[in-house]
Amino acid sequence: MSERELLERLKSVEAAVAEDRRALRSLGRIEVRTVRAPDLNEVHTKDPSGLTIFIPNWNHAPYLPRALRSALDAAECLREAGFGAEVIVADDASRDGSRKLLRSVEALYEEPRLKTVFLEENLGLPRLRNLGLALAGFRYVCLLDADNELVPENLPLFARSIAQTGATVVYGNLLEKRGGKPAGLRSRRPVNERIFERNQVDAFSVVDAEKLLTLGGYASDPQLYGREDWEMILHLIAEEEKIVFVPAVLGHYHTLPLSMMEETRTQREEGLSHLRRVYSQNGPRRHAGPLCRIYHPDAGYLDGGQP
Amino acid sequence: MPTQESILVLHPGGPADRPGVSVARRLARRLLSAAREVSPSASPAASDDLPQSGLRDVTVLVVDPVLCAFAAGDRRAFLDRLSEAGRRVAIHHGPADERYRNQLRLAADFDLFLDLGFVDKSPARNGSGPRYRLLFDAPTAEEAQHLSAESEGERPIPWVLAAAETPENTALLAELMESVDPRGSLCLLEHTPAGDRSVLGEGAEGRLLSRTGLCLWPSGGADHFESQRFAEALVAGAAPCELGRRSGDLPNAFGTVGELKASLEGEGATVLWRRARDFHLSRGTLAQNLREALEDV
Repeated sequence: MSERELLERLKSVEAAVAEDRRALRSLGRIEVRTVRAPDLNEVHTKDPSGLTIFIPNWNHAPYLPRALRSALDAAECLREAGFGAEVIVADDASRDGSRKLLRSVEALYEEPRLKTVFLEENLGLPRLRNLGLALAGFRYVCLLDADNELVPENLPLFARSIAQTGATVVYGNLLEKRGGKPAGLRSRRPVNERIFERNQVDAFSVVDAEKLLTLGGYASDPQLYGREDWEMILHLIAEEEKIVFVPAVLGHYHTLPLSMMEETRTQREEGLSHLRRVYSQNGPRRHAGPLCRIYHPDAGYLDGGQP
Repeated sequence: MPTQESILVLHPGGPADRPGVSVARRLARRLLSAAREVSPSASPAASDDLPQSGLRDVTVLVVDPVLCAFAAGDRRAFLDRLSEAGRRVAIHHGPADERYRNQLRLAADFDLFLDLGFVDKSPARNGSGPRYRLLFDAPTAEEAQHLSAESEGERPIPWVLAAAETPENTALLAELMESVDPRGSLCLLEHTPAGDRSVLGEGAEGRLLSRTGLCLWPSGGADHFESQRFAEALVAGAAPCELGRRSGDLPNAFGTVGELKASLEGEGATVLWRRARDFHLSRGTLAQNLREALEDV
């Protein structure tokens, strides 16, 4: 997204949020963060002492309470571990009652660290994620899709890992569930050279928002629909950014019959040629260092490389 | 075997990240340590660097013969050169699967087939191949020294599950997170016919285990208990536990996660570690067992 586009988008976000603030103020007890037009310098001044859990939501009302519960529990675990924490939910112009649900949650829980943003116009997931990165009060951001679920006790491991390694992205195993039952693992290994053939890392991870925004955030090219996560990892590799795998379970990845991933599988492979055109040139090129490090905050680096 | 004879511990050459190679080399290191107690001049060699001559008075311990032959490149030439050795002893570690049968076939005319572990697999040989003997996987002198004192370090990681990615193991992981503690760690193994390969680097598993309470792995079947993992976990101070074993009298072998949980709640990880240590120390040292086995050749 260009800077001009971002400004325009955020202005509309600002208007929507201002409207929501007026509505919510009437309830007298809800804090809603004001969204300001971006100041590019602000990208570099996020608070590194904590982590923002960002939940982008689009028509996921049935699953949102599960994601939200896990996020609020995880925020509590972060605070107990000495980190700052906040949860931001951005609703991307849902039409399934999500907005009403979120307002009810706010009213019920009076959770000052839960912040909501309601968009009048649908931005799409990659732009919404970029908005989340921009809105985050903390430098480190956990991207939690509204149909997934964090393992609250493990999020501090990932917060410590990103702070200690200086990585741009830290990820771990995602326990895939179908119908509530374990069905496999995602993001299960350190990135290797096969990343140029298929994605290995889901966006459900912890990122350094400052670095990601500086690198342009998630690409929103429609040709990349459903593959923005993959493009981001390839982009980070091309930029020689540090990617770290933590051998622990970050969360539960719930697979739904019509989820974005399922839909993508059935789509034609048209976006792949675009990705390969950009990044396949990097594939054969060997980077100076490893594509990914393995790290556990209680045991240090686990890949045999230099600390 | 006269103890003044030289012993050569042969391990697979080539890249360490090949399936099975890292495990075989760690095993070879332990075996070399034991062999040096049997014969002080015992030395190591990679299979792709086998001495061209001078093997006539040497007892060669071939750790994972199939992998050694593969890494050597020319399998026929490797076996021919090996046939010059005074004695050839195959060292196997693993379940009685296709890999085990391949080892038996390749070592058919060796003098001895030593199966390093806790469980006798001789019934699975079908009577073919070289003479079989279980080499009880007792600690080396160095390991025994480590085991004499309990580790007092902090263990913030409650458990590590070392397992290949299969639907059964995914369900096991979920159950452990739900029933025991969600903060465990997963050390994934790539499971191939040539052996397992960990996603972690050389030596990293030990570092992880030195900060861990329990080292867990799924049962590989009734005829195999991962004695090497058991030994490595113990030395690192983590209590080794196998999950899914339905019978037998091996220590810390639990049929279900529920049984493990009950034992943890009733006894605690320290008691599990001590029980494993006592079992491991109960049958001498690896050097003593190796000496007995070689004297029997």
